[in-house]
Amino acid sequence: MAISVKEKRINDQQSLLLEGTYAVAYAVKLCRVKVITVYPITPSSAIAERLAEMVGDEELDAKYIKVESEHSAMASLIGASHVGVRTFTATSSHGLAYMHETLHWASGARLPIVMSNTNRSLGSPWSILAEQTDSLSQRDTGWIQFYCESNQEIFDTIIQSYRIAERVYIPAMINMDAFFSTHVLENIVIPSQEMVDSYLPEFKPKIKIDLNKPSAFGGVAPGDSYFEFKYKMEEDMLKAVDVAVKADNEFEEIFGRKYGIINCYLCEDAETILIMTGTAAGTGRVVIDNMRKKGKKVGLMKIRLFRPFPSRAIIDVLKNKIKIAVIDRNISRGVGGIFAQEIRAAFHNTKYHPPIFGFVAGLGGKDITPEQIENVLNYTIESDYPDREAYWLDIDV
Amino acid sequence: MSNLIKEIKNLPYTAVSHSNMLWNKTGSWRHIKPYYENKIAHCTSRCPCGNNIAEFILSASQGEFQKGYEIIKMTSPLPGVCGRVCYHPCETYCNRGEFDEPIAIQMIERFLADYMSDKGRIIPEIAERKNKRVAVIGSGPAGLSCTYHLALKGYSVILFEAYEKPGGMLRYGIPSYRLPKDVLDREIKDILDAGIELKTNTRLGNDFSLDNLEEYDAVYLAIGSNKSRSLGLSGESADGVFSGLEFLERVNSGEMVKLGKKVIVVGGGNTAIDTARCALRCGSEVTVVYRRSRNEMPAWQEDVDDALEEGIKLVFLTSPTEILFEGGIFKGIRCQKMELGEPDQSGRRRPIPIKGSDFTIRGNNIIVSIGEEPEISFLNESFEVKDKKVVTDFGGFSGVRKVFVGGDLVYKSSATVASAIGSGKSGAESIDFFLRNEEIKAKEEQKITEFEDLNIDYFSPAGKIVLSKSDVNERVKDFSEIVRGVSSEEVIYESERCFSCGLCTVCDNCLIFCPDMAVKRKDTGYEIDYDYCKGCGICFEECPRNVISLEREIKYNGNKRKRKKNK
Amino acid sequence: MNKRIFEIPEEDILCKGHMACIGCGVPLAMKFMLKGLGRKTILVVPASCNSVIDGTYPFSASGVPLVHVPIAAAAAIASGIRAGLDMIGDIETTVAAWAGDGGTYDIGFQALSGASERNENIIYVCYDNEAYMNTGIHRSSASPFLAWTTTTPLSSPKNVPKKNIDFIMAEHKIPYIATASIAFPDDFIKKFATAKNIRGMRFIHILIPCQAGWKTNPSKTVKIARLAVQTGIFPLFEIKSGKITLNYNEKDVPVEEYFKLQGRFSHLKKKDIINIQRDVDRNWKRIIKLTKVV
Repeated sequence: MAISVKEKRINDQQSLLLEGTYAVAYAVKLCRVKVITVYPITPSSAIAERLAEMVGDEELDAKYIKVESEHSAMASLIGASHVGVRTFTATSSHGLAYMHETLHWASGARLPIVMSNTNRSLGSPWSILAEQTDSLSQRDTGWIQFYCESNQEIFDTIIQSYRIAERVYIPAMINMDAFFSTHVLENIVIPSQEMVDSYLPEFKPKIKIDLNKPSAFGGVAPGDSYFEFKYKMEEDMLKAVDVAVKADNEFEEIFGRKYGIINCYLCEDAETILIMTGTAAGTGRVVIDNMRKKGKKVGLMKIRLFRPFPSRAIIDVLKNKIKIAVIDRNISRGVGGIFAQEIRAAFHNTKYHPPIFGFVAGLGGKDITPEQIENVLNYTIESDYPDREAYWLDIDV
Repeated sequence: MSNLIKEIKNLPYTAVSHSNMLWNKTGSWRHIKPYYENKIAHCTSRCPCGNNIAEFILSASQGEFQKGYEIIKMTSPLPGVCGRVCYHPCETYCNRGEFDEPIAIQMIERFLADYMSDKGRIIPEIAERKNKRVAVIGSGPAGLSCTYHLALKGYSVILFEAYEKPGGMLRYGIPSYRLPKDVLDREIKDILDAGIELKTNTRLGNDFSLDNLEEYDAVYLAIGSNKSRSLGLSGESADGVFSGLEFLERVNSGEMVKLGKKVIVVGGGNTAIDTARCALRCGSEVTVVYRRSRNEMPAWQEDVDDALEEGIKLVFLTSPTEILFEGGIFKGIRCQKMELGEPDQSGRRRPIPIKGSDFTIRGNNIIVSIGEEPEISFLNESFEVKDKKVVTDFGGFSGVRKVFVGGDLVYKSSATVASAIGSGKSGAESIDFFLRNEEIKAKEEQKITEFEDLNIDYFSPAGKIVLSKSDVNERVKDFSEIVRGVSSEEVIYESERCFSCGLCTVCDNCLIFCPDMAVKRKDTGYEIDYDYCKGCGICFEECPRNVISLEREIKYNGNKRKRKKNK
Repeated sequence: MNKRIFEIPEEDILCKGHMACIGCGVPLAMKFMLKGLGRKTILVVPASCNSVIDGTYPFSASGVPLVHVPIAAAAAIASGIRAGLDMIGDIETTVAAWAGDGGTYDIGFQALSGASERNENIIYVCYDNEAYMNTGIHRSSASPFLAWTTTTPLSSPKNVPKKNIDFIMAEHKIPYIATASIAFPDDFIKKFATAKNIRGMRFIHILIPCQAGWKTNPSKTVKIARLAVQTGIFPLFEIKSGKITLNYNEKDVPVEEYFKLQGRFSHLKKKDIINIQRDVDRNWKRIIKLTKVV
């Protein structure tokens, strides 16, 4: 991994060839983040390294706390965010798991912290390669979660996330695949600071530490008030779906790029829809193209926003489809892939009940190949109903 | 929209407080209640005069000498006297004595009296004049004290004195080297200046009788123990034989009594020691003969030490059996040695003669100082008399119409100057009750602060001031005062050593250590905010001087809540 | 006639009505600390007794901004607040973590050690009541040798000594370390005032008797705190730039005087007390020796 290939200037100032980690760092810089804490972990470490350089070189005016653990990384941001400044951290896998307690605290305290997470397998046994079980294990911590496909999407989603998080006072986690994103060079369009500033105003929270109005934050909430706070938070979390849609539209107005909270490819006339997330969605599109050539009415839906779960948007697309296949690079032990479960749950109280086939693939960074994806679609088309929660690729199918 | 939803809309998005905890009246948790209560210092509780010792020392420590003096004057008219001749039980019971050394209380009292000696007469406010007259018989410490306190209460007093000058034993019994006459004169003058009629050279029994006092509304009898006991041996009337009191009276009247070279003093009490030291100052060699050992001597130990230092010889466990005289002139005594047996009624070990131990001490004079007793031949049988003294109730009432008794004349009195002063004060109080037709009340029991009640963590060791006496070779040459006074700096230092037991000095400890911020300052001291005091008792524990008391409390807020409900 | 023993600032920042147990030493320490630090202070309170003492939403007794945080996070959150303040240009406000012994010695230690190594510009205060009192008197690594707790019942007493947190902190080479006692308020407040004016990581350790957990009479809280100092069990010292100074030199009371007021030690046998006395003497000598190191 030679440093020289991580960043390469091309033609003009607006475009850089960046690895996913560096894309994150550049986005953070343009968001004028004030406090950064990163505890390095493979494969997100280069974020820590590049941000350290940026702060060291005074390219970025921020405090960078070189903490001793991910728990402290998130904790420090909780502190900084209470003061009312924009914050950022990056982690992955075990690091995210170690943050678990503080993730709850950050969302409960309604601090719009933004974090990038590199989806990486959890031990044991050790693996440092791609898998989404780490972030999906944190789905109940009250964080907004995005799953990104390309480095440009990662870059743009970081910027969007601050706008969303700071409007609803809920922290946001931007997920990307280990190595497939972090260590792959892509040409990234880097907007000017003015453009970003016009999209992302200075962070001015309504409630923050104020010496003139000494208050306690997060004290024991007696009686029903805890319940009421949680209700209020859920209201705002649900609101975040629309806020995210709006933020994406507004982003398009300034930057000319838009991602959608879900992204559909050839879905309109499709009978069978394949659902994928992250970098594997790109492979999925190639397969869709190939199968369309063979006359199969298939389409692909990429889910970008996972929390809050955009059920309505998803059902709107899927409601009249004949069959649905979901490939999950993650697993909730005992029920199968997590996206598949979420989609099944979304359908449950509707009148639409297409068969939903769940496939578990690519755990521990195992390749998800076009052949496998085609097998998944063919299996789904040929079978009436799934006979199990999840099929393991190459084992069951 | 449900009300709950409306409420939730009004919640901030995060749990941020908007108010303090003052609503939380933690006083309702309390089951033990602290309160401020000054208490009697151990020293004060032992002062026969009832002086507020801790208070006058506190004033002295701040250099407020006049204020200190005024505090003493509330209880005793004779601080200059007590500051010299009191046996200072206050110092014996001074709590600081258990810590390092007691406060030199007596010297502070003496200083305050001397300091004020040239500042004019200062006595407390005199109450409104009452149309009642009291006859006080005897102008010794009890009579003077009673007179003074009666005068303060507004009564007219006539004071009868058998001798030429007032003062009784203070004047005629106590030598000037212990109590200079000018000090006594000054303090007596202050008393008499309150409008007292003094009749000297008027002896009860000789010049008038109790029956002559019908015109008075009350009578206070304080004639003292004015008669020396005799040995009961033949020859006591021989030339060269004196009684202790007779000798002291003559010396104290300014007479240089002619004594021979060798003087024998018999006895072990204060009179014996005073007698011996006066005889020494008259130019004689003095031997004191006492039938028990030094441990049993009733004389103040310090005086005995002084006597020994001055060269007086003490012969213990020796009792005269015969007075030897030739041609009516005293020549010496025949004595026998004694040994100590079981304790007697006084608690001291009884002397038992050793057979065949007779021996002779030769001398030119003998002064018999084996004790004093009142001359009570004038008393009729309506008085109850025991041990030649009058039995009274706790208020000094004799049982005989309007006659109160005080001082040494009282049965079981402790025969000290201070107790006589105290007795005069309580006599005045009893007479006041009597004349107001009120029942004489016993004193309420007071809460006393003893050493165990203090928090000694707040005190650090500091030595007592050094009290000095005049050079022994010089002082025996005349009757000038032995114990030297001290400077105001020394008095302030010494007063600052005082723990101020039971007395709030506004040290702030209760305020500082209250975990509930429930102690508030007020003009002089503090008050407790019972709305918040949880009753932990830390203030009680951390008060250095036992000013805070605790009491069990059933419910504080319980009652309050009830009241609210009733509204 | 005012004869003050301690000269300390008059103003109380801590408010009445707090929820501390009767006779609890924590509010006393908080009161003294705030007198030393003043109103420009932000407190960070991890799960501990003070999470309750401060009061429940929407109330707070502290009188300064206070952030409740998870138990292991105090030092990190304080670091973050400091960083945030620095970024908004507030270099004047003091950030102080106020953690119990659990949040300091045990679960909070990683974050504390990290913040210390980074020399974060914060004050970390450990209010040490020698067990997890808020959870129910459970043993911590600050519990003394042989002390009773609900997790070291008499059948299995704590058989290891208390961790020496002060010297562990000293080895982090931070600019200021001090021990303070609620029984010595002037010294206590002076130390906080000193700490306030030093930049970098400052650690102050306060021993606070807990009437419920130590099984003591509530009125004796300060008395016991004082005895801890007088016996040499909790020596008062400062370590400034590595140089140790004793602030209370008289170790003149036998440890037994300290133990006998506390129910948690009532099972101690004569030989236990002799052993503990020996250890205390040894530690005292060690400190004396260290004070002489130039």
